[in-house]
Amino acid sequence: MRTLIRLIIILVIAWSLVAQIFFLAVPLCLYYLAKNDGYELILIAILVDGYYQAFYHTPFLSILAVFLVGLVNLIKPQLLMYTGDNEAIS
Amino acid sequence: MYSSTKKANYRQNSRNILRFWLVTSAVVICAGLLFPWLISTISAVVLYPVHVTTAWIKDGDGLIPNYLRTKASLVAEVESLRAQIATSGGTQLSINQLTEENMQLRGMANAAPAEKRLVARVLARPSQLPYDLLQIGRGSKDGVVIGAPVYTGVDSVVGIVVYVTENYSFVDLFTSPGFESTAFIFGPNVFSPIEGMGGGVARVRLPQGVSIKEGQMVILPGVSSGVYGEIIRVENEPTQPEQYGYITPPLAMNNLLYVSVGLSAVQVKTSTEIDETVRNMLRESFRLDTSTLNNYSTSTEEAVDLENSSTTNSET
Repeated sequence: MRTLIRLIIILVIAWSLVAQIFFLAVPLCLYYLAKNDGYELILIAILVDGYYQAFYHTPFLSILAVFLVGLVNLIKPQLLMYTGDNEAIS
Repeated sequence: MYSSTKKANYRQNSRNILRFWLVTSAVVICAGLLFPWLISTISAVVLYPVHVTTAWIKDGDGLIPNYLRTKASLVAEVESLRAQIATSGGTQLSINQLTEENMQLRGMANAAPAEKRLVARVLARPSQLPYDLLQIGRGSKDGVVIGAPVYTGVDSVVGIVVYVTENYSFVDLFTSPGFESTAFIFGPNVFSPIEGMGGGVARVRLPQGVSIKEGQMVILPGVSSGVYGEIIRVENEPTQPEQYGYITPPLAMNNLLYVSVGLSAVQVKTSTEIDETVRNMLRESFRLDTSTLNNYSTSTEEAVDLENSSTTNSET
């Protein structure tokens, strides 16, 4: 079920980026990044940049996605409530 | 419960994954910058279903796309269409106005050469002035005198200049309340008193039994030989001794852009002169227009020419 929801969100993000509905795409991306690692977003961003032929100039969306995903994944562990190194996780 | 994955291990693993993704992404982006056509093709293929869905939702006529379209976009579309209609309507209005102005100027240019006239722009009309007056943009500097007749078109007299300044004049319309003159009505061919009613309407008064109908032409022979207007409504109460015909000029006062002004005041005509004027008008009404005759003669000549040429062709 969780995988299905992730897939649906990814598809909606891809569609909203292609349709340039940014008011839908941006919150969905942030939600997806908060809930998951979000590496798929880099792939989506690269594909959308390719779709709009941004690689002939500068692929801003891809660069932004790489930067954002990297930043979020670096910050996220610092924001956890329990930071003990020996705590067992699933 | 035992778990071999501790938080420290998890962080290490996730950093490795992040590093892997960042490096891979950088490589793919660099490859894309080197071979943009390749990544564009791949993207077009992969995102084709998304592209089709987007196009369907944006431009599809089906129930679902129409439902999914936002109200804002539909409102914007309606607004833009309204703006288009307003623009095209305004353009058509301008064209109509210019055409009307052109026709009026052409009519005045063809005015009878026997009487010299001035063309004057109408500055104010009955809707803007308190009485049935016209304000025209010619004055004594241009030669306008009190009592000069004012025409619309070639010979349709609408009023008399009553006040002249250096740069502008006021014209008292024949439809002003209190104006009285004698009119001649074509059809029953009778003289009748005419009185102004205001608001661009004058009235003729006739005894019962005289056949007046809507559309009959009326002239003011005491002022001009031109047509004044036509009867637009007949008020006939059989129990009353008189019947009334209401007359308006051929052009509504609100549509007047230009008028022509005679350079001399209206001369008081004797009854003999008035009779002569009416007789001439009646005679003129039996004549065919020369332009119509020319058209017929030209078309006949063309037909003869065509016949001759076809006969020559068949012989050859």
